[in-house]
Amino acid sequence: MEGLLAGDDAAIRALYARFARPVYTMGLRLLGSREAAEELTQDVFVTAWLKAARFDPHRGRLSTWLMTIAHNQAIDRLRRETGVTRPKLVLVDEVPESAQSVDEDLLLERDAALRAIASLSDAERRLVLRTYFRGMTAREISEDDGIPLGTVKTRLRSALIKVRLANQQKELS
Amino acid sequence: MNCAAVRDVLPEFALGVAPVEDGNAVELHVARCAACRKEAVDLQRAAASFGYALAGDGAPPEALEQTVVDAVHEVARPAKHSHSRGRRTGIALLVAAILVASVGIGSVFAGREERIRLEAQRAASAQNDTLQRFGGITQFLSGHDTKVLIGTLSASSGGGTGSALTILTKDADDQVVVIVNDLAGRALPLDVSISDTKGHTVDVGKIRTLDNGGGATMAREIQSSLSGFVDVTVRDAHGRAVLRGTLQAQTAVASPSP
Repeated sequence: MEGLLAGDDAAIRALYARFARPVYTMGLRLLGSREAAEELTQDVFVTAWLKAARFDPHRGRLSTWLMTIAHNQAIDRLRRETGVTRPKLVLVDEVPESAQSVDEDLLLERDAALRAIASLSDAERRLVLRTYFRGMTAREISEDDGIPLGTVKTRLRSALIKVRLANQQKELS
Repeated sequence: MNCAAVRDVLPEFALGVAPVEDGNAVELHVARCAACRKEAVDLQRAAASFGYALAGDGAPPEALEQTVVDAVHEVARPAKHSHSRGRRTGIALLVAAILVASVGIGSVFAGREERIRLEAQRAASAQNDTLQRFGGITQFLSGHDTKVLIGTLSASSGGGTGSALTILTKDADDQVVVIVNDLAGRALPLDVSISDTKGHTVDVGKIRTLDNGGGATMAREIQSSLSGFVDVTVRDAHGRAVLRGTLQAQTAVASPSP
């Protein structure tokens, strides 16, 4: 991270080597074009440089921090570009593992993602997908589905708590 | 926002879809409330699990690595080598921007007369009256319960300079003023946006015309709160970042480095 702050070429390339693939994947799967995925990737790494001094390793892993930046930027773009057809979401539990990355941090993150998906009911999974991957707010889902806003919020909270418990159980074991 | 209201918003906040004003209120609250902060961190960790839930679909193109490295270097370079000069130039421009802001916000100025007036202000401010003007501006703003953040914009690639400020007001819409220069030849319109520390972005607007010097001034009211939004980006019509900069509290820039 110090190298990134200094604009060190090797540090930037090392960060890119570890995280370009998941960032690019998020852009491609959420935004639907290679051009948009490339723009997102470039923006995420520039933003990581700009915000590197704010990264706090005590609050989470570097991989989580970087993907949060990628997610926020992708969702902002999704919400700006309304009316654009987006591709069908394909999750890691729907395709065979390619084992492209042997990076331990990334394997841990992928494992956590699989665990998170498995911990949810189908309804909860659909709800989380619409918020996290489509950028829909609780109010928008409430209006779309004709259910009270409070119910949507309660279900989102319940889903996140399930994921948290699943991850805690894994850590304890 | 009290603890109950914050807890109500936290799931959406953790999933990155809380309305901007709610998100800002949550940030402020969790900074001073340990219990809500723990809840927020826990839910954010849970939500972050989904960050790696998308199946891969091929590696990024090989050329993208060099593009990314070049982009980071371009952003890093001005901060490392020309900070003081850029800051002084920016202050002169920002005086003009604040003067624009003080006489009325809500429209995009890109006309020649306005530019001439702004350039005159810029020249005048270079004649040792910069700090005096800031004093007057501070006085003006202090009576309006406002907070001002200002900063210079540096070229991400090619030439160009710029400055920007935000005026955060408790009882009215927040405002953004952006001045750009030396951007002739860039693909128009230019998109101006501002991001917060979490990477959330608010569109400020488009600059559709430039004057003979490749400059323009934009002033906009923003319906949502701009608290926490400090990173300004100007992109050309191809989506390439041409100017970037980070805003700081007014006092930090009003005392320039020699």
